[in-house]
Amino acid sequence: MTEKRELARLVKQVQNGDLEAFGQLYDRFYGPVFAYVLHQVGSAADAEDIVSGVFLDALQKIGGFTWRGAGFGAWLFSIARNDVMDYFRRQGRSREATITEQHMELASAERVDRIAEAAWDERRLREAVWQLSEEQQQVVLLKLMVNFSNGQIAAVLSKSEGAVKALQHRALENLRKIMESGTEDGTALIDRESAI
Amino acid sequence: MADITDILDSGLDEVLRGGAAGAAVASEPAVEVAPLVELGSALRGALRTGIPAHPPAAVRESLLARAQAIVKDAPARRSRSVRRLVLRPAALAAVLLTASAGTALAANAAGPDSVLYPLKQELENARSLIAVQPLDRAAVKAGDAGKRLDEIQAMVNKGEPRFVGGLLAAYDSDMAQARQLVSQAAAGGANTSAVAGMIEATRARHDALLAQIAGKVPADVQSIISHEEHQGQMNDGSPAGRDGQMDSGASTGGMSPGNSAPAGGGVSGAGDGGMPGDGIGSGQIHGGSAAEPQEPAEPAEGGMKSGGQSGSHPAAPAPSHSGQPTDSGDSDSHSHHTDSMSDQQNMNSGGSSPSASGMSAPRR
Repeated sequence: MTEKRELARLVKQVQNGDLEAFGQLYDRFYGPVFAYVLHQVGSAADAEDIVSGVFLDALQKIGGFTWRGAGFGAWLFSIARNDVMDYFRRQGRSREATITEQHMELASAERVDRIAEAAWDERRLREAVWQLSEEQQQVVLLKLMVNFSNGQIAAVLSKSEGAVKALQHRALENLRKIMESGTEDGTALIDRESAI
Repeated sequence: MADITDILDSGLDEVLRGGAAGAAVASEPAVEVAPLVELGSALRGALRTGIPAHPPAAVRESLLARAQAIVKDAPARRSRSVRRLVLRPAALAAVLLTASAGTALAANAAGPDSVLYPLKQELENARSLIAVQPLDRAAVKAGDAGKRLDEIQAMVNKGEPRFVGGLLAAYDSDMAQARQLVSQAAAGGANTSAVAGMIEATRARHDALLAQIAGKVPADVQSIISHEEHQGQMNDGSPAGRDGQMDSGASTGGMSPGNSAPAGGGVSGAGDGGMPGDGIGSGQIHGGSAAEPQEPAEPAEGGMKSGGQSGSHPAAPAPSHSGQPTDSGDSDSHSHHTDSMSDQQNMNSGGSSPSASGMSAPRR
């Protein structure tokens, strides 16, 4: 059985109330969903709570899911994206503020605990992503972390594929600027108003 | 000439497929894209570092316990129609997948001496299952009973009376179910007069048919017919009819022409012409299939699993102080998303927003 058919079978079973199938879906998608959420909220404990909420939301809504569109993964990540947005709303602070706090904390920690230059570069890259606009971050995370196609990303963001490609281009251009002009404290001027 | 965003996208796709970042854009005139592709490649490595392979056991256990509560509560909230559809998905799927349009048409006209007859029975069962309201199902069952009468007539005309006994038994079963469903609907306050009239008309046609074929069937079948006629006379003597709850005031005016055909009129196209039951059933077969999740339009999920769960991670790594898991192993460098054309065509046909194609971001 192909991966797609296996996934379709699991979804149907969950729609029929099969908890074991739900557990299999959870096992299958937990890793990428957790990484996706964690990258955005920064706290492992909060990410764990959000991810559990994502899957429970999905369970409650799965009766209305159909295969028209970009598939189950895109549907699940659209829930995850909304739950992350809700998280920031509940926190009563903006995503940017949270990200800046994380960034400053990490940059400081990194200065005293820089072991390998490669690891530092990887960390700088991840931090640079935080400075992108929300939509640019979504494109970068969903494409490069989650392996989504442009069609799937378009579904999560409710945009056209052309818009996704443009966001992707702008995101990488901004990241290049950040990496080239980034200073020791990691600050950089970027174009935050570039979302399409 | 390709747009720079397309060139970059192609370059990134090449990287995601496992190609080298430099090679991905080497043949493109837009060399300024190369650094962006290399950046994307490096970023991919950074972002995919430490994706956990499995949920922590305690977290999983807690989640499934909460899921159990949701599932337990769900049936009470789920509509009966959905419940009925999901309880019998295999039967519906088998029938709907097996029967192409042409085959289904042929099966509808098939008699009990045909190899297609079992398919006809399955199609009838599917229609009955999909009909949601008791009154709708009663109409379907009464329609099926009418078809049995057509088949009896046809078999007798063809000189195949050996099928009559079984068809009469099937007729009785359909009529009993129809009556029971009408009673159920009446108890729920529904106006059952039209369907009750249809059932009465079918019974009258049955009586006339038995009188007509008497003497044209073997002795064993004749005894069944005699028994049926006896039962009919007994029921005729009852003011309330067979089930005692039939609306005796219901006229047969709502009867479809197919059912009100005189018993001697021969086979009426297997009773499909204008039978209320058929109309309900065939219409709802499509509705039912739409309620079922559609076969995946090539959802690009394949890369998700392999990419998201690198097999080299025996357990979820402890997150670092940054909040990022610290496991640096990324054993899945060769994985890539399966960006199938069919997926994208489904999502963006005509350049419309994907939300118009059935995918909408669910919100709390």
